[in-house]
Amino acid sequence: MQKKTTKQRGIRQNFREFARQWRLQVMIIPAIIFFFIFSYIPIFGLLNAFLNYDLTDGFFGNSWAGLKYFRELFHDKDFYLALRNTFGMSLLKFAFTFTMPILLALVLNELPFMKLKKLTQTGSYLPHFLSYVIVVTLWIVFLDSGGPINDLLLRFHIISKPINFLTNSKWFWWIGVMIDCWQESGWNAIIYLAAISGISPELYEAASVDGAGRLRKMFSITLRSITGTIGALFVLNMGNLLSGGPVGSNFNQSYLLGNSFNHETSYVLQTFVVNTGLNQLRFSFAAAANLILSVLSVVLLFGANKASKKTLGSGIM
Amino acid sequence: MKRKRSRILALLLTAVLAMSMLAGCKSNSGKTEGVGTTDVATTNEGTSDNGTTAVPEQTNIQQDIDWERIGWHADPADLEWKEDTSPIKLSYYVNFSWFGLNWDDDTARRVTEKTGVDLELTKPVSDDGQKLNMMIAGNQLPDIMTIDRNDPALQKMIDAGLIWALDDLIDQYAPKMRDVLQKEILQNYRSADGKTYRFTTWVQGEAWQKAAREFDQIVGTNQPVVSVRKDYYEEIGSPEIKTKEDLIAALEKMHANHPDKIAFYPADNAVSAATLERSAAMGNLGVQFGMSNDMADQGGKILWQARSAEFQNTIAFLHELQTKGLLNQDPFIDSKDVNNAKITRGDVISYTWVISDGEKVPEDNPDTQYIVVGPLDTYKQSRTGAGWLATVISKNCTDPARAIRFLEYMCSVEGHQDVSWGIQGEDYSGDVVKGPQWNLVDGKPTMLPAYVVDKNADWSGVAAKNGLGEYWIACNELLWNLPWWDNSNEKMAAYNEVYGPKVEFVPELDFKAPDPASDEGIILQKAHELLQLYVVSMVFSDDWKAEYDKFIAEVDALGMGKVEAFYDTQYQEKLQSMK
Repeated sequence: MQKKTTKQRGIRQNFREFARQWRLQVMIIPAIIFFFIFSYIPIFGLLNAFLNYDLTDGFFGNSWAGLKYFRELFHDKDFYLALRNTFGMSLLKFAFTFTMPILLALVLNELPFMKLKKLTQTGSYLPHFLSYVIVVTLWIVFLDSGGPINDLLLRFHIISKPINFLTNSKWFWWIGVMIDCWQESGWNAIIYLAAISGISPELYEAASVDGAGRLRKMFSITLRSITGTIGALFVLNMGNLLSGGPVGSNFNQSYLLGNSFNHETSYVLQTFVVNTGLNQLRFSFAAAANLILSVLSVVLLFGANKASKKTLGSGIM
Repeated sequence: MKRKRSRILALLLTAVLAMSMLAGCKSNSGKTEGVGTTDVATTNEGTSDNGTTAVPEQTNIQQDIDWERIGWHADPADLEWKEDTSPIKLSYYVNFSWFGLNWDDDTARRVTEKTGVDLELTKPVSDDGQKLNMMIAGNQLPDIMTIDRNDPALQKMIDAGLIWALDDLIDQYAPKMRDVLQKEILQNYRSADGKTYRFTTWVQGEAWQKAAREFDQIVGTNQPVVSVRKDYYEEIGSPEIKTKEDLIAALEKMHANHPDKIAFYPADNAVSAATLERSAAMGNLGVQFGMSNDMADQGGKILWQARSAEFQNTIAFLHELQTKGLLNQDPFIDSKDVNNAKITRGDVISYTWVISDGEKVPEDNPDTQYIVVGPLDTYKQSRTGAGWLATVISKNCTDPARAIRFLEYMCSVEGHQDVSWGIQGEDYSGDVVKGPQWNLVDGKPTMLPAYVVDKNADWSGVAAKNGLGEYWIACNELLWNLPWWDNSNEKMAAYNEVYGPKVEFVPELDFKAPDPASDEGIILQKAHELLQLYVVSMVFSDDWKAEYDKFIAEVDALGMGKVEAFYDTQYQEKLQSMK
């Protein structure tokens, strides 16, 4: 009895508070409409994966296909190649592009002069503002068999014959990692730097008094204090893992740098969807392949959240 | 007080935001209408202001043209489009984002004034077919459309009954149109039900071929050729290059003198994935070895080009170059821009491209240039001459009678005169808009040389100003380009002499591709994916023949025979109907 009344009072209080802030609450309406139109309504498009979708019949005029397209997918051996590459490339990229910004933030924090720190920071996040297409075009020129990198290596006699960076499948994943780290580490470090700036200086002073060195302070204070931020970003980025980690560049890289020579490592699920689905007007097939990708991403997201709650004691949901 | 005011302001802003978002969903139709009406206003203003947008004098110039030599005929006197020239607005969609004009220039005004038809021209923002797909799915097709004739969406629309059959419309509203049409239009592009739904443009049909041989125009500047660097070629004594072996021997010698250069470089994507994903004929390289089409007649039957002796010969050639260090991986991955950059930098000793790109000047030695050599004895080009684009009238069309009559006008000699040739006269005024742009010379319409100079200096810029030569809605390539044919160019005449006999026309090789979602479509696409992978593994392996056998085995396992049967059926039917 007692419990119920407090609960009722709670609801009434909440409502009163809501009524008091109605002017503020109204402001969220555009966002709700936005997400409803652009994120929720399109979810119904997933039905395509189970329909014999034909453009000319309209969305409601199609017959059910059941799991036909999923069966076709699982019988397609390119699908497995694409799946393997997606996981391999994504995990590799995730490992590097997730840790690099943390390291960068720690290093930037230790830089002694304010001006130098500012300059380094600005320089490191500038590439973020370049489009991936431009970045890739630059690297295609750099990595060409007659390009400056090979030229340099040849001049210093490190190699005797130009390395075919762009046509050798073993380089493909690492090129992606390198481009992503170069382009996005600085940008992603900003959030960690913000977290670091919130750490109370007293902690460092106290540690100094206790005789802690620079490295000790870095690990025991700085890194410790931003664990929460790291955890939250880890979970958030996990949902993006299969598109290529925090940067999400798998498709761009595969589409722009993939070729017949490195096909073995460059063919990812997104290229598979574009090649066999969209380019061929096989929308249902494409939708089925993409649905699998989305389901895997959601599983990863919830899994990561759970893991984060267990190990760091906090998640985002 | 201040706080309250800012609160009200915030509230208002929110409301406006929310409203504008909702408005975004609805305003579409209203908006286009608004734009449309202002368009009419300006167009009308333009015409009334600009009284000099003269309709070219119809003093029967057509009678003075030497039709016998050209192999065409003047328009019949009473074409149906003249019956009704009251103002009408038709929507027209051209499925190419790069299309430069907007139907607001003097050419458009001239046509509108004469026929009463004002086009409301739209185009997509990107060339991925999205806009067209949306229009199909939303049943919002415009009155008239021009799209690539091989676009899968075209067949989709025809199959779904969204397009008018040309034969029906012509019989009903414009029977005389048959007299101004090329004979191929209603004969070579029939659907399964025996009717023709697409007005195919840029067809190099019988009339065109005859005239082109007459005027030395079979070989244009886009004819594939082999080029070599002149200075290097002269160093080894300019040996004759007539066979594959000659070419390899010459390349070996030149490369020995210049080992840091790429000896052989098929340019223009000839061996890149962009080409191989569509065709096994390897672009301008394949032509040197007698390949032109993805599906070829091999012993009276249609088989995939990858099975042909010519294909194997090409691979064997590339493989030999590779083992001798005369070919690297670059041409297989470089884009067209990179092709161009490497050649103009002078990084390559020889390359395949087309005549207009065959004589570039390398930057590292401006005193020399690349020169065209050959052709090899294996050179052969089979053209279908089957055209490039297709114009269709949708069932949504508000007035199909006026639409078909508009096409009748556009494909007549008079239409070509207004849309492609321009204004007739003796002396070019110096103003690209006022013209005149052409005159009769020895019974042949010919562009005025002074105008040609201006036009060549800024091709698309002049087109944007006067609108001539761009609205190829119902173009007949013969009439379209006739005034541009200039056989005083000795160089091109010489090319025609050498390469002309090596060009053959095989309209029966123009096929409809299988529906991409059908079994055949899926197999075909997979086969081309395999092709991309195997071309590089064949060329860069030790034993190309072993890889080739593996490739063919895999293609057979895919079920390529089914696809070949699909094409062969069409082929045998075409051979029958063309007899």
